[in-house]
Amino acid sequence: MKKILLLSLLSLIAVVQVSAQRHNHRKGDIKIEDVEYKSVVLSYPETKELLMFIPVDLTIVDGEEGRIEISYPVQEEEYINYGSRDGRKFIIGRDGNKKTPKNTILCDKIPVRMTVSLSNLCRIFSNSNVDIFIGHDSFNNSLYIQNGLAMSINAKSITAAESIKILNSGTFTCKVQQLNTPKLEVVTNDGFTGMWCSTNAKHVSYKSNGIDNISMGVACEDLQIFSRSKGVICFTGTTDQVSLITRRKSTATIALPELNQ
Amino acid sequence: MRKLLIVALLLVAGIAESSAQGHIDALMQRELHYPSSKRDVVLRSAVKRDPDTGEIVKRVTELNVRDDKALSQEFVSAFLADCESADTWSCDDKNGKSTDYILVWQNPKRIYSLKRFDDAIIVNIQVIYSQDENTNPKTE
Repeated sequence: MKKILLLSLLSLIAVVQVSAQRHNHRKGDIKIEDVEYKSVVLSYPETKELLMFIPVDLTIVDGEEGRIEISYPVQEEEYINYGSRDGRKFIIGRDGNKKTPKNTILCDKIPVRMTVSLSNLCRIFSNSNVDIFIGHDSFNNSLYIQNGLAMSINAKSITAAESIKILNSGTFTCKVQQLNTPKLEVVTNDGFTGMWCSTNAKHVSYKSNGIDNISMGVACEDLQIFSRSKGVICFTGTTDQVSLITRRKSTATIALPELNQ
Repeated sequence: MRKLLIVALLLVAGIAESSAQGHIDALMQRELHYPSSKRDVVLRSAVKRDPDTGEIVKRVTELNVRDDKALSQEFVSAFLADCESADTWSCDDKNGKSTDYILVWQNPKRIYSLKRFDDAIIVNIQVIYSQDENTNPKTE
């Protein structure tokens, strides 16, 4: 009897180990260098909006206007859908007609890689994990950045001819040394926004209901802050007009040193 | 000894003159740069510049605080403290509903007003640097 019990216990352990190994094989850490990427080059010169619904590493560079290069893991090929709608919008996401694969390897560490040359770009929308590196920093119109999940922007500078508007309901971090535009507006922050930058915008407005970590240098005519938020909001520099409105729920530490000089 | 006393008196007079509205200014600067209230606050500050020279000719600051009795009391105390050095001042009780404090200094012209309600205060500060050439300290 003892032997039978021992045997069954050993076999149970073996089964558990095998299933654990299989699980690890499926979901375990897949090395980035092991992932085979496939590249596609497209041309949509009229593109003004980029909409991303899967993890993407986006690089905006100088080059032939409308060139979009996409690299994605071969395993995910049949589940990824991309293309242009109305000639204006370029969308990348899951194929709506197929189920998302259970063991998808797409994540923030193994994202789709996109390199685009779009100086007429006026809207970047993301509802996934997106890292953006901006090499080509000049945009001909307003730039509207919308984030629904996790977005980080890295660049030396961004120049938008008319305005830069940011709408965030996820986690948004902006590490850009200089934002060059006449009007900078954080339309609303309902998630977490981290911005460490300077701007030469004449009109700066920041509206938040979420959590902030803002450190921004300004040299503007008009600065507007509306806070119902938590965290730290710090503007330094010069401005002729300040309007600060905090509401009852606001516990944000707001600092405006050296303003109005 | 007399000379020393005169010098000391002149020094004290000079300091008193330079910090005429020091209590209110210090409090307003604190609220402008590092707002302490976590309640409903509306703070607006603006400067008007000479279009030719870019120099500031007028500065207006307004603070509206609701439901913060500690901060309200701090401002009332600051107004009362600076009252003595004002060129003219008035305190007007509006049938117990609100109290208005107005303090005025000349050269440059500074008008400080405080309106106090039961649950709110409105502080308004106007500094006019060059209403006309005679009152502009820079041209004196």
